[in-house]
Amino acid sequence: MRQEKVKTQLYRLGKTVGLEKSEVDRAKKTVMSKIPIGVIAAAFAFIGFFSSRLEAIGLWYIVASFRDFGLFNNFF
Amino acid sequence: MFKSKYVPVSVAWELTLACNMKCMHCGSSAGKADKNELTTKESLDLCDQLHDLNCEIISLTGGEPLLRSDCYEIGKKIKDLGIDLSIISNGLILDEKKIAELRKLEIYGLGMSIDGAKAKTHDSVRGIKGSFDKCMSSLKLLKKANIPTTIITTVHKGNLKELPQIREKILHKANAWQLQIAAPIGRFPEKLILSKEEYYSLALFIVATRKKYSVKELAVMGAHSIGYNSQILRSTMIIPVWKGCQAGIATMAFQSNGNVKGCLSLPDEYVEANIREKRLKDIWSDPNFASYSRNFKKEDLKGSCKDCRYGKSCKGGCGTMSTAITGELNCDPYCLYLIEKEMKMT
Repeated sequence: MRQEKVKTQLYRLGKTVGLEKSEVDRAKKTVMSKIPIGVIAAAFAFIGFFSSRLEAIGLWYIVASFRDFGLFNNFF
Repeated sequence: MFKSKYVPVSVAWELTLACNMKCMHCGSSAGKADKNELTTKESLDLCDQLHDLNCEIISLTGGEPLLRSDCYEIGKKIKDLGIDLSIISNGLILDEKKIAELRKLEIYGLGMSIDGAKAKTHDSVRGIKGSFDKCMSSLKLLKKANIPTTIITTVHKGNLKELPQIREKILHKANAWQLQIAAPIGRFPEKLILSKEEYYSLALFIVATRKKYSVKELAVMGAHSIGYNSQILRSTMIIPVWKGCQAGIATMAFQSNGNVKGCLSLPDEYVEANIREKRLKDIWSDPNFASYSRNFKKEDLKGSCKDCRYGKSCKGGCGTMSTAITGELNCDPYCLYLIEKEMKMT
């Protein structure tokens, strides 16, 4: 019941920006999507100790670089 | 080489306040050049100083940075030092000659603003009639010259509903699309700021678009002011872990007159020093530099962030949004986690 209510809210919010229901559904986290993200996030947090560039790439680049996108967007 | 606990990995440098547009959301209220802007000699010296601090990428912004006659010279210096260079332009000044110069610089990325799917919307946001058509033709030239281009769209009530059409316009023309929320800073009219619900819709749009298109088709991301610990949506950012505002930690910014801040968008009360008064390494290594960020404590959280379970790592979201909306740091109300709670979605 609660999940249905949330779904309805999301569809309404998505409609504001022209999204179809199927697009909204794909935007949601799933149990399966959380597992690899958690593992990879932990790995990148570890690498982040050695490369502060990762912090800046993920959090605050004025121009989002397509080169860095190539690396990260595939994961997330 | 200077060693510090913190490295200004990413630097935003407002090269000039001169601008050939009059954008309603301009955080710098740009238009005319500041009489006190850094000279070419001072700018080239600043490049050397940034290199000594192990800076990895410099984004030249403005105003319109390409209006400065020494922009290419400064850009070349940055590249010669082995630092990645990106340039944020409004696209109006770009022609085949300028693009050939940019190509020679082998820039990391060019950011160009498109704020509407129709000429009427874009031109009204940008304050210049004909600018939409000019930007779209600049985009074609950039694509032809194989210059990596990121479209930047600043979203507010006036263009939120045009996002799907903007996406259509730039698909297969630009490499990436960065969406950011217009903050009530500079001359942006407060009445146009997105409501929290609209902000959530924007995040939903970003995530849905990231799922819809491959990176090769169009790499899409929300800027640092969109996101934070959603329990429902996938990540709006490239890396799914928000570790708080990086002002003064991994980022540094310069105003055209040499003022130094942790983040360019923060109000002027957060100016830390001026590079005409001190060497940059002394400014950066000062224990009080960006102390709001470097010495953040959980007790600094305010408002709804005060008791948030993510407060310690999130630091209360984007400092610029937080100060612009509430007048204080560490309590950005534009937060997906917070909105989900307010809307009883979690």
